[in-house]
Amino acid sequence: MLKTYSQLLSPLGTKKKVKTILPPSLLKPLGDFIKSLCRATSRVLFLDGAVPGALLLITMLIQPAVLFMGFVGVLGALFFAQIIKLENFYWDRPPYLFNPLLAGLGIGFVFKLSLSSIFLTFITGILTFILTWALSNVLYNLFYLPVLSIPFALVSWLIRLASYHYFSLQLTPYKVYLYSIGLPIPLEGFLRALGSIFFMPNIVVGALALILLAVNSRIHLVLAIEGYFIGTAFKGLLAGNFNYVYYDPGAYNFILVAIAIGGYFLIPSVRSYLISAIGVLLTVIIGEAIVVFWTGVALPVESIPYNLVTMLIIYCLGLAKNPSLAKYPQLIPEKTLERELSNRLRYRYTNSNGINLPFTGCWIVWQGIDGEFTHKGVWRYAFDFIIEDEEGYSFTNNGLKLEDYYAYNKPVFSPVTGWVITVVNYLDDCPIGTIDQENNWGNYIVIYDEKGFYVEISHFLQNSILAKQGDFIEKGTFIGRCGNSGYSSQPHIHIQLQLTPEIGSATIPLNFINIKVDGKFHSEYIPLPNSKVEPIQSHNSLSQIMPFPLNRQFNFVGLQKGVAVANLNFIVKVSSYGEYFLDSGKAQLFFHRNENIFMFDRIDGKDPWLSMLMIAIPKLPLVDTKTWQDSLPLSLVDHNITTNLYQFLSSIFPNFSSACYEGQWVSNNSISGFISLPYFKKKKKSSVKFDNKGNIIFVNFNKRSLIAETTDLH
Amino acid sequence: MSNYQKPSIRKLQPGFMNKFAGLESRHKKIKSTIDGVSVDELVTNFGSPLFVYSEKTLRKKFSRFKNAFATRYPNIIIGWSYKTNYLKAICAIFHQEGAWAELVSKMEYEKAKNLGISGEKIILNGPHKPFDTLLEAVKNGVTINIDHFDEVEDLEKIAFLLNRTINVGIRLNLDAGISPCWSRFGFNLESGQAMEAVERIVLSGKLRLNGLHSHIGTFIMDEQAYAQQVEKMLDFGYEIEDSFGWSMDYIDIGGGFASNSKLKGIYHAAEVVIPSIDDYAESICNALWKNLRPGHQPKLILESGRWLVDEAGSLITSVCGTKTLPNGTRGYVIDAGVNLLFTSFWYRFNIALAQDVPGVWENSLLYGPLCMNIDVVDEGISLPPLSRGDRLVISTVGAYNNTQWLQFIEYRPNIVLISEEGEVELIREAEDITDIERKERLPSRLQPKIDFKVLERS
Repeated sequence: MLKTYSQLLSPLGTKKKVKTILPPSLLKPLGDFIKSLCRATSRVLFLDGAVPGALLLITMLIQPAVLFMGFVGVLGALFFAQIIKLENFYWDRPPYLFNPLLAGLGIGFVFKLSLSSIFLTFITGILTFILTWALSNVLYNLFYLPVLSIPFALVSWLIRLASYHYFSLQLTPYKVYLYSIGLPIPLEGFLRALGSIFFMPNIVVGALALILLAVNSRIHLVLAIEGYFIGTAFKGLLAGNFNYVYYDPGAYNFILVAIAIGGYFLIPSVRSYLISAIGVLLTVIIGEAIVVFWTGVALPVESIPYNLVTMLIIYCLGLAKNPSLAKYPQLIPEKTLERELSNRLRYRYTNSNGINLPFTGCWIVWQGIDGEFTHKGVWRYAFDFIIEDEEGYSFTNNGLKLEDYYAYNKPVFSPVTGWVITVVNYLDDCPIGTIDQENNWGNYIVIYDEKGFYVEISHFLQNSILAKQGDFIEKGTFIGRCGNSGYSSQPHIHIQLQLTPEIGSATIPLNFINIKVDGKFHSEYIPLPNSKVEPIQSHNSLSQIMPFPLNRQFNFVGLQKGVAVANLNFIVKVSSYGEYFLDSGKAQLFFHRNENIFMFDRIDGKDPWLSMLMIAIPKLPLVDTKTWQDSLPLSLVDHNITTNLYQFLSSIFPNFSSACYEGQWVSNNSISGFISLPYFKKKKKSSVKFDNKGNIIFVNFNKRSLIAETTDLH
Repeated sequence: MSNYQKPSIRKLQPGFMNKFAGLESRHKKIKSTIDGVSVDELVTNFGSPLFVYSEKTLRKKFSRFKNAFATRYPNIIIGWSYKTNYLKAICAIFHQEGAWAELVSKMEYEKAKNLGISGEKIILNGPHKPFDTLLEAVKNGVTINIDHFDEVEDLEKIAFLLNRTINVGIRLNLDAGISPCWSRFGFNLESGQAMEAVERIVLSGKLRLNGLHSHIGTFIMDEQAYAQQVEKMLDFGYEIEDSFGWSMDYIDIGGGFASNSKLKGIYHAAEVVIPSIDDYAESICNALWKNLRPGHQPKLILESGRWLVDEAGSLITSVCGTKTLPNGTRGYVIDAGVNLLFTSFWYRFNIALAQDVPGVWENSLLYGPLCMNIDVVDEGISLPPLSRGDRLVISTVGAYNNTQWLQFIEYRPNIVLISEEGEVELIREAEDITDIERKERLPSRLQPKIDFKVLERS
């Protein structure tokens, strides 16, 4: 779940060119580095982008000496990296920069500016950098955990301990009280705590941090407030005295724990808020314990409680494979929510194999997964299908003869393309009222799908299986007829997937693709017992739609309210992870396709035109269905107060996270999409038109349109 | 006080056993409700005679039909044969269930168009396709099955006009081992005419053959005939494929599936002699699987009318006169005759009383209201002594009657639909004099010079 943590640290963001008269060979790396440093500074508070970091650094000029020492720490790190000729990869990994920065700020906060303190800070920067490097790898590889600010905290302690013998260093007096500006004490305490994160227990810095938090994410803002006041309240309650809690220099730990757990590592939800509140309570106790323990040597708590509690909690949740952990944590929790929740709706069955239904026409699920009769234990992932008439009977006449049963003698088709491994074809069909208990599986076939699993289908009519061992068969091939051989009380089709070819092997999860369940089309689905299921056939003419071959360039004219405003070109590229995307220069629109479906998966970066493409056609089933549904991340559809509110609310009410998309073929070559926000009746319409080769020639949504430029004019 | 009736002597004939199954029961047949709605209520609200359709039965029949084929073959299209019953409501129900429109004339084409059916869901058959209809059909992407050489020429003209090639199918007639053999429609397979037509189409270069159509007859009681038909069509299709390299996108085997009705002259009950839809489907699909080349699964188009609609329609009629014939047989004049029941020429209808009537059941005759000797609805039905106003419910009348009915001396009555929830909706209003005269033009010189005011006063 945290695998992507390191991926996250390597932003795909674009780098703007710096306009300068100086040679770019010198300035460009400098500019890039400053940007990286700003981004790293933002990350301390889980903020997104370089701007908040830059603002924070500028505000820190209030205490120039402290800020200066921070930079010295970073310089130390940079110096060391240059000596060992380290590549610049760490620029994109915030902990490698913010830990030295914090360590430097810490020294600046404690000691007066002097030659020796500068030198010490420089060395501290190096130490912090090395520790970050080592620890982040150890933690990630052994425990799948991020390093957070542990290196800074440890180094800070080390330096404090060491400095007992460094008499050339002079302490700066602790000046908490100097910063009051007459606001209510708890509020000042809160702002000071925010500032303390950067060793600036200063209301101005705190106020800026608060504003940045609010701009970045309302969820973070709420969590910060929640964290601080729960922490201080608990502490005051235990201490029996509130006079002191708002001046606690370690109170920023509460804020960081609340944000990290409640809004970053966990998908924001009532549960994540609760867990983060528990985290804050633990932080109070651990922090207090550290204070008491270290009193003898006068060490501060630093950010150790925050680091310990956060790591402990996410480690345990990871062990429990808790679904609350975000798969792709984003710096803006609203985005995490949106992405996780809409992905949950869009890619429902990623951990099971999808196969076609093994029959044609409308059948009934007689027994499903964890069925009440035989689908239990290791054989739980299996389906039995029968046919029923509109009165709910599976037979005509009195049902005493096999021929009376609708399922009897009906064709069975291969649900996969693969190799026939085993065929048993000789067993008698049991007359109604008898069961073959010796040959449970009856006449059966096992087919190997090269995706890595075996399909087992049972209870065929005697001698009806046409496929032979060793045959390679295509999906949809007529393989035999439904019968009543084996442990079967009425003619039915039994199907299961397994990892080994032997009959009776343990079953593995499965879902069915291109299936109509009780009249509604699903690209993939796990039907429940008694539901009516029907396979939807693939559509030949759709297999060529939206051809996006690698390196192909598409030229469009962008229109706003009917006026041409942009010339756009999208190029098909492939990422180092093998994902295909349309690149507009500003953003990347990822897509994937297989024989059943075309899907736009996500958009990285910001480009309203690419977004529009995804809104207009988030997915297209390449099968014979006129209508289909999908979910769209809310922010893709609109940006206004309602969507902001919805995003915020979606942590409590997950339904608010996604807009509903209903696609529909309106003619041979055009699609209409109807997009609606949850609990809103109003629908916005999108439309897409294709030429006869399946290329997109027109897209429209919300006053914007794309019109393809004919590229092959000459 | 009832009128005196001359007594007559009859032989007492108890029911007897015989070797034939399904001897028509002499038991009282009473049907006082249709889909839960009382016949009395229907007549009170909508008059008599009255056609009543059951939406429940329509949908049930469609899903039975669809399931029978769809569970045996993965690629089927059901074309609803408009000519069987083109009441808008009936067509709309079948279209809702997913049926395409199978049309055979300009009028039917316009009906489907009015219902908003898109060209991709229309099959145009029949021997008379006017040029303008054909042109519109081509423009709308309708599936067209050619009936004769002149149509080939029409379509070539259209292809030239539109400057594109047109997909077409041809209708074959073939000997499927049954009689009569419908040899007047399409091109004959056995004589080589069909192959000539194919060659003609291929040579023209304007048309692209993509399907075969054949309709072997109506009310076919031998399901094996379809197996023969399918085999012959596929053989022919593959012969063309091998010679001209075409691809058979569809095979349209027409319809003709017998409904659960009893034909005149057949002694057995319908259930005994009529194959079930599963029998038909089994025979057709087995023939497909046996003869299709591996990997080739063309669309199977089925055109059904009678099987889908016949059982959903009933006719309520009332006795308007009673009489005793010279031979002593009781006779009844009812308000619905062959004008409304065109199928009475072939069918022995299932006729039930709408109410219990006491008395001895005896052989009786039912006449329609027409002043014609042929207007006989049933000439040997066992009935108790009926009086004026007694009602009868005639079943299995959904097919062809509402399209082939006559406007002869009578008005055509109301038609109602009973929805699945039991609501009764009027789907065709009874005619009145304005309907009859609306299209008439009386030359002014022939206007009668009558002083209507005087007429009124008198």
